[in-house]
Amino acid sequence: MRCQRCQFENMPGESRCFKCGSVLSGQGVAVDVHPPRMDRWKGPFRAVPRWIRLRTRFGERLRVPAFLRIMSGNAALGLVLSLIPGLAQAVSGRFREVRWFVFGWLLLLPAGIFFYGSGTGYLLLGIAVGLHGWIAFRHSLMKEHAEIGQRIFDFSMLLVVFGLLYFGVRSTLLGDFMFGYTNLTIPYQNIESGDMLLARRSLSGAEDLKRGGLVQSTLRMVGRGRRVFSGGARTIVQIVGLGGEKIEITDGAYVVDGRMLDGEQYPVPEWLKGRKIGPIVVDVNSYFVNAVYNVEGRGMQLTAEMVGQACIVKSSEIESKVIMRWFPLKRRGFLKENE
Amino acid sequence: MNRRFSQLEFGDRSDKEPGKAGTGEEIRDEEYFHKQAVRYWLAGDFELALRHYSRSLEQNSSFYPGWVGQVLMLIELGEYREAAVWVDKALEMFPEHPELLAVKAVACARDGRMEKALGYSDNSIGKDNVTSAVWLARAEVLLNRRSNIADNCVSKAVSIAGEEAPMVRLRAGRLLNRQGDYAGALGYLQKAVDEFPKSALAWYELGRCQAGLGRSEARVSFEQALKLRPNWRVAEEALRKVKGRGFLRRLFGR
Repeated sequence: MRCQRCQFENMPGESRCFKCGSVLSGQGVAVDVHPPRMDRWKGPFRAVPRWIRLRTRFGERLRVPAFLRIMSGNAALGLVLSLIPGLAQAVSGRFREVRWFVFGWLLLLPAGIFFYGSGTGYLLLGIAVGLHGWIAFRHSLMKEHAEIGQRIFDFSMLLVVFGLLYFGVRSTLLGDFMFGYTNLTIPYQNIESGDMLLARRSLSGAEDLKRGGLVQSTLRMVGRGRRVFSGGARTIVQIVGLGGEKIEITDGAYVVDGRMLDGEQYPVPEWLKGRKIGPIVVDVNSYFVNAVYNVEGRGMQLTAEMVGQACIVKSSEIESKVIMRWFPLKRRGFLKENE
Repeated sequence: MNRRFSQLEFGDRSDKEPGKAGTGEEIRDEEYFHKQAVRYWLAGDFELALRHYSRSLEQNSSFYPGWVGQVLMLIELGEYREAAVWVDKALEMFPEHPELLAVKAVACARDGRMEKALGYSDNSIGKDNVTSAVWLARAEVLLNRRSNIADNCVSKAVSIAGEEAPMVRLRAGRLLNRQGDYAGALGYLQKAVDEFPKSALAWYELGRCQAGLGRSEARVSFEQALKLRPNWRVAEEALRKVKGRGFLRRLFGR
């Protein structure tokens, strides 16, 4: 019996070719000859990972000069290249080794930013930094340092360095944006105490600020000698009075130039409620702000001078203007202007 | 193997009813269905071609061109994983068969698994009696890796093709077309339409190539393909695109 493939003449009765191992005749042997077929719905689902596979072969596609490829094996240069996760491996043609780590980093970083302000967000960002550190560690240091203690030290140092790096990048690239927690509750703007708000530095110019706007400023310590109030660090406050206006607090509401403001839009904080204060005249280039202070000493007499000292901020002291509620997620959205 | 395409009739007589070859009823053996499958492939109907390859294997499951053809049709239909599964099955019957290894390399390359593709291609090229199909598969893998020596593989495939040269030229043209090397593909495809004037696939590929080069003849080629296979959706779409292209887009070939 002659083999169709190699033309070797086999002994009669053989099922496979003695020379090449091919099947000699299908007759008498049940072989399924109908190939499996792909369900149509699977097409797009397979196309996406294929597209990624075809376009993420950096090591193969990048035309990297040979000297750079060799030098990328050096730990120091590897670390520098690893500032962009996976670049060192891509240059040395070993991107596949870390592709899933890079993929995870690409997923976790935006997810962490999205959830920034919550514990989940911090956790995701932490894992993203950890993955970045691991990618760099795998390329540059793992082969050089074999001892487990040394490896743990290297990795820990990388985490610290990358943590600082991320902080620096955030300050550089997103320096215009600031996050801050508020301890105001303003029903009109759907803001509750403890919300994280997003603010922009570039909008803190005096011409952009209107009554009802939220701004970030550092509260002063008032009555330092007697420790009457303690202000916080940087906090979010609401503008109530503009420069040149006369502010009074009466019946649990603000009165500006004789006009009473809506309590939903301009709620008087607890430490000023039930008191009659004013009138206080706001200086030009200054604002009267709605701020929450901790008052030390119950029943203490608050004078207009003390309240003015606590609540009037100069325009130069305003650091940024709040543009949106960032967290909690269900109330995320841009703020509506009061006026 | 070399006899596979030698008795095909692509000329004025190629549009005869399958099974009636003039002098009487043809024997419906594996060779007959294989020829039918190739005819359908030349018409660009890969689904029917696959069915006929399967029928050829129903006649004789040890007919390995049928297995190779099935896998190639699965690849044409974009079912790369199924092609890989099926080629594994074929390799159980024909261990270390260079053409089967080569088509597995093509399936892997199209699916974006380049390392595997290169491995299978290396394996196939190292065997004895390497055919032009193996060199074409090698060329495809290397073109995916943007290697400069891929052109040599195509030339080698054509030079050793012998009687299969017309078919190999068409395959080579399609391969270069697919990789965007329209200038390289044009020569092969022009010869292919001379050799297979009744092949809708050859005309369609020539049209694609001409369209890629910004040539106005692309329209004629697509129309010819549609004349040979009316209502071919892919060709209709290509023709519609070519008709809608302005002077500047044709000038820059995009």
